[in-house]
This record gives sequence, structure tokens and C-alpha cells, in this order.
Amino acid sequence: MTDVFRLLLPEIILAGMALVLMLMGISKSATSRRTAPVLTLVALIAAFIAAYMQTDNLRYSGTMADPFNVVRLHEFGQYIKLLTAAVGVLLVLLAWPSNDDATGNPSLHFGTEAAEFFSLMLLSLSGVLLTASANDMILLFLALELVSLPTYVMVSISRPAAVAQEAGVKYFFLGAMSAAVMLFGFSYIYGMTGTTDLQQIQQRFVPDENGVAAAVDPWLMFGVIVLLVGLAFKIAAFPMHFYAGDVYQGAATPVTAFLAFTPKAAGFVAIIKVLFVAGGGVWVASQTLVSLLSVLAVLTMFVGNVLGLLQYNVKRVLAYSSIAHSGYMLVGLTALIAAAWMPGVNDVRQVQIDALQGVLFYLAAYGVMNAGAFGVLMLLPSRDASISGEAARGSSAETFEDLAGTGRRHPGLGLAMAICCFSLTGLPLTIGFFGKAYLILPALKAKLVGLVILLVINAAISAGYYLRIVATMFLRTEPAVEEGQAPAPRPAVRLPVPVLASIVLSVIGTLVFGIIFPATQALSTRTERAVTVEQTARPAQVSSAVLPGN
Amino acid sequence: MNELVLQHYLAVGGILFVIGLIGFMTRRNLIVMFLCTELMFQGCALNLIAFGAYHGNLGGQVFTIMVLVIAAAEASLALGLVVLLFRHKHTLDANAWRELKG
Repeated sequence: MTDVFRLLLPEIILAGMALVLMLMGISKSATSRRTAPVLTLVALIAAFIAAYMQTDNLRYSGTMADPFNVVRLHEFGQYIKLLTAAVGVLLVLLAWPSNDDATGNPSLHFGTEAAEFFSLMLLSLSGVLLTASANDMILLFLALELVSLPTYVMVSISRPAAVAQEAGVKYFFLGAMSAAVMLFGFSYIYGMTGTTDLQQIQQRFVPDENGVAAAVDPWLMFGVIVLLVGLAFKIAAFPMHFYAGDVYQGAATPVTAFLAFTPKAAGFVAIIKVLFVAGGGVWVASQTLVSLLSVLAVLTMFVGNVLGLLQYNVKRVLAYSSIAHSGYMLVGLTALIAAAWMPGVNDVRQVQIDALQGVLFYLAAYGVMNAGAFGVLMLLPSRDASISGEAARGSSAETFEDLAGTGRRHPGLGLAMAICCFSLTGLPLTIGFFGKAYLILPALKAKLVGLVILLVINAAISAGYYLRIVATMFLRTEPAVEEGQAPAPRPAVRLPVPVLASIVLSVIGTLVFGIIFPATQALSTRTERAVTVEQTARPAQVSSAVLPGN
Repeated sequence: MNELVLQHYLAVGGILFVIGLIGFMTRRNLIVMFLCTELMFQGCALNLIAFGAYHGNLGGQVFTIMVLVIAAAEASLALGLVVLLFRHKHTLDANAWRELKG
């Protein structure tokens, strides 16, 4: 029985600093705007250290919970916290206000609201951490909303262009709708079990001794399915994917990078928790869920990749590619719960561990390479002459036209983009390759050959648009200046150091984990530990835990 | 026969939710769309309270209070965003906003 404040120390650090930043936002001086991101970084690093300090306790006692069993921390949650804090640093660096008056950077313009912007960023990140430690449906719902609510505001204030506000409103309305769908699922799960404690709900799903999934009330299964559909919004998966293109395009590029990682991480953590509960703690979920997940995975991959091929706007391309990446991770989750069902699977437990480990590894890989790709994109200027004046602030490269020839003008940025795109495609020598490998191998062991073939086909389709980005940067020439016109005043690209640092860190991460195999192994061992402990945290040990009488 | 049982409450909750969902899909006024999401939330809240009373524990009511908090936070956000949009285009028609497509 650990003190809840000690368990939640990383979250408290982030949320506390967010409140301090909100107060700082009262001051409209440039100094406060310059201090805000520094404090944000400090908070993220402190949260990282605080989460890391829990390692020994977790190894010793396995799982820590508060007396009411609302917060439970195991190594799975700790891994998510470390990952979120680390990727959070990359994302904060991308949003660094590097203007002279610190009102934004080449592709972000929050005006005087810097402190509020970073405060919202921290709140959203602390929501991901809270999702990872929630063991109660109420806390899970609140944590997921804590992730989403700040992002609606961040999209709207990210730049003065009207498209940003349109994107913010679309994102908000669809987000509120999906939250209601999610809540409907929660209400039926509560109704059919009479408790909000996830571990007690899990008891209803424990399979019998032959390993056959428990026969549960159809309304309970209905609740779980509705909940999963609501969560699909967070990870931008079919059938809740349609907002991604518009919202990712309208938001300023650093915010797009934030949206592509943070809500997605929270969504996957929540889905993993729901599947763990619905699998009775041993991932033996009903076949309905297996078929639902596999159908969602296939549709998500195809929708993302096929629509990605058709886009003209690079931010939309990356948006649809992020949908596709959710599809790949859903294949891993399908392998996770299908392993117990498919005939002829040897060592079901090992396959389950590998599958979940693959998903966690992919989440880390995606976070790193995604930050790099958006980082390069935000440093390239826009060539759209129709955007001018106030609305042009915070608008950077968006279309393929804007990218043409930039790789030759800025070889370093071009190289970074090429590496990130190769990694997103899954070419060898990058972290993306191992990410896909760790997803495909367990799926093969779980005898999901059809799904694996579809995944490989999709990876091939995605190569089409990723390579198009790289080819446009290096092979196409810059648009010629028309005769008789003064050469267009090309805004000098001044490269802000924090953004460059973020790109360099992402590229180094992409390569180190891709080329140096011991590093890859170290990361995958870490994910495997996270998964193993999650698996052993079985409800049987907990039934004796103190629960408040009612 | 005249007694209210759990199913009646659930039916009302479900109907509220579905009306909200249909309204959200079909109406184009931003305020009405927001009211529809509120309707969906209240349908869920009714479910939670009915289930809570049925099981005789307080989980559902606690959940409902938290849901109300979230709904209030969303209401303040929604009104802020709607005012922002209205200043740009002087209309609340969702169709007036279609610069983003592809």
C-alpha cells in the first residue's frame, strides 16, 4: 500500500508545472515567453527521473497500488511514462519559440500565449502518464479526456491562419462525440459488472481451466466493443479516422507532430488495458474481439495508405501515414489476443509477450521517427504566395511544391528527412525496420499469415508516398522565377537551434536503434520486461487487496 | 407493470444517446451540434445512475459527477471556439468552414 502521491509523482510534477506556467502566462513579457519552454523541459526531465526512480521499487514489489486500487503502477506503466517524457522532450524542442520576440518559430505562432501553450502541452502529456497508471474506469476516462482537451486548444491557438481554427473546431466536435461513445461503452461495462475497478471487471472475463474465453453477458461485450470504437478516435483508426487529414493539415506543424504521438500513445495504452481486462488477464479474449480488431487493422492500414498516396499536401500525407501506422500496431494487438485461439501455436504465452512487446517497441520507434520528419518539414518555408500578412505567420512548407529541390539547398535537412522517411517505410538500418519486424514475427507465430501479407503489401504502398517526399526534395528542381518578375523574396531560412537539436536527436535515435543491434536489443528487452510484469500482475494476487467496503 | 425497472431507464438513456448521435450527424449549426454531444453525454449519465441504483453502490453516481465536470469543461471550450469562428465568418453554419479538404 503505497502513498498515492509517491505513485503519481511524475504526473504531479507535470501538472504542477503546468499550473505554474498558467500563472506565468499572466505576464506578457518576452522573458516569460522565453522561460516557459525551459521550465517545460525541466518538468519533463524531472518527471522522467521520477519515473525512473521507481524502478527499484517496481522490481522489488512487482506492482504498486494505492489503498483504493485506483492507481496501479507496474513496469508497463513505467515504460509508457519514460517513453512519453522522452518523446515529450523532442516535441517541446520542436515548439520552441525562437523568434526575436519569442512569439513562435518558423512554423508556429502562438503570439503572447507561449506559457499557456506549453502548459497545455504538459497537461496533455501528464494525461498519457495518468492513463498508464489508471486502474479504474473513472480515472481512465478522466485521463483520456485530460490528454484530449488541451490538444483542442493547442490546435486552435497554434497559428493565426483560419484553417487552424477550422481544424480546432473539427477536432473538438469529433473528439467530444467520440468521448461520448467511449462513455457509453464505459456505462455498460459498469452496469454489467457493478464496479468501476478494472481488476474486478477482469474477474468476469477469466477463462476456464481449458483456456476457453469466459462466456460473458452480450451487453458486457457490447460495452467493450463500443468502448474500443470510441478509443479508435484517439489512435485515428477506422472508423474514427476521418478527422486526421483535416486536423493535421490545419494545425501548425509542431502541433501536428504532437497530435501524431500523444493522443495515439494514450489511445494504445487504453486499448491495451481494455484488451487485458477483456482477456481475463491472460489475453484470452472472445473471438468477436479478435475478428473486430483484425478487421479494424486491415481497414485502417488500407484507408491510411491508399488515401496517403492521393494527397498533394505533405502534412496530409503524414496524417494518413499516421493512420496507417496505427493499423500496423493494431495487427500486433490482433496477434496478441489471437494467439490463444489459433490452432497450432506453440508456446502461446511467449507469442503474446512478443506481440505486446512489438507494439510497445513500435510506439517508441514511431514517436522518434515521426518527430524527425515533422521537424524537417517545419523548417522548410512555404512558397504559397496566396498566404500573406498575419495569416502567413506560423505557416511553413505544406505541399510537394514547397518541398521541391529543398534537399539540394539544405543537404542536412534533406538527409534527415530521407532517414526518417526510410524509417517510416521500414527499410533496414533504421528503427522502423525493427519496429515492423517485431510486429510481423509474433503475428507469423500466431499464424496470422493473411494479416502479415496485408501488412507487407501496405508497407510497399507506403513506400510510394514516402519515397515521393524524398524524391521531391532531391530530384525536382526549385520552381523557376518567371521572366520579368523580381525574384521572389525568399525568406532566409534561419534554423533555430532547439528544433535542429530535436531533429538531430530523432535521427540519432532512428539510426542508433536501427544499426547498432545491441541498442535495439536493449530497447526490446526493456519492452519485454514491461510486458512480462504486466502479464504476471494477475487478479488472483489482488483479490486479497484492501478494498473499501460499501 | 406500472413500476419503473432498470430497462426503462436504460431505454431512455439509449434513446437520448441515439438522438444526440443522429442530431450530430445531420445538423449543421455548431451550437446545435454541441447540444447534441451534450445529449449523448446525458444519455450516458442516465445509464450510469440507473446502473448505480440497480447495483446499490455509488460508483455510477461518482462517475456521473466526473462526467458532468468533463461536460462543463467541454462546454466552456466549445463556446470559446464557436465565438472565435463567429468573429471570422459571422455564421455558425458548419458548411461555411471547408477550406480543409482532400
